[in-house]
Amino acid sequence: MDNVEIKKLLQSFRKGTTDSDDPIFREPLERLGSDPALAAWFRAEQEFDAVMVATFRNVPAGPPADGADGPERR
Amino acid sequence: MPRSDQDGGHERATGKFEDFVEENFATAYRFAFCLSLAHDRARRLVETTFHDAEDLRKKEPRAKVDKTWVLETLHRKWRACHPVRSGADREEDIAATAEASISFEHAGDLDCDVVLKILHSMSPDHRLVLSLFYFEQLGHGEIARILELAPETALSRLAQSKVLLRQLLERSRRAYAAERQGCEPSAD
Repeated sequence: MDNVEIKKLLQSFRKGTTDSDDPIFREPLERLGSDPALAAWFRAEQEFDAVMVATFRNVPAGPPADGADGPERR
Repeated sequence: MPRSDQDGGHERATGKFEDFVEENFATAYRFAFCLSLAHDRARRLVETTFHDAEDLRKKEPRAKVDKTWVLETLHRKWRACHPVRSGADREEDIAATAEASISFEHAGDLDCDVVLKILHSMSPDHRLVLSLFYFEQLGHGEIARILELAPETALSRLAQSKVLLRQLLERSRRAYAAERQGCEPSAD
């Protein structure tokens, strides 16, 4: 598996889920131990995911109070 | 007159369904809005989906009607009115490959409304996988199931969509920085 394919898989990896036991992620996760550049890239990727999850946590889940249509807003 | 057990059972079932709606409303509405990009359409999608859920529970009490069922049903209803065009967005994907991506440090500085606006500007193929990945924090397997994709397709699409999102966020960040630089008074 080349690095392009490894990164494609790791971009979907979610820590703390059944992904850890999914065989599709076995080789990519093993490669992290022997490739420091890949490991650094993966850490940054996971950090980005954490930032996005935190950002989207602030999004209200319902129609606006004024009943307007269009893009969802606070 | 004492209440029959049937009345009590019906009230319990109604109460449970109300709890189900309350637990899943936010998830349903967020995804419905991501699908339709309009509040009135999102409302209708959510209403008919919960209506179907209630009907199904009455007819088949053992049917697994959970959050995944709600998301799958919402997607199916929306797809019925919006058939997928194959080969769409290729130009957008190819054009975006050479662009710079935003770092996580800069991403953390972006306003939630800006990020949401960018997400909603993306094609359905991209914004739906990202919505399920970031809003609902689902893995690729569940995303594949809800969007009726092969798992490998869900993996590829998620990877591609994340790259595109980061490029669009970086584009927005640079545009904002350039605008601010243009507005700031000179030091003379």
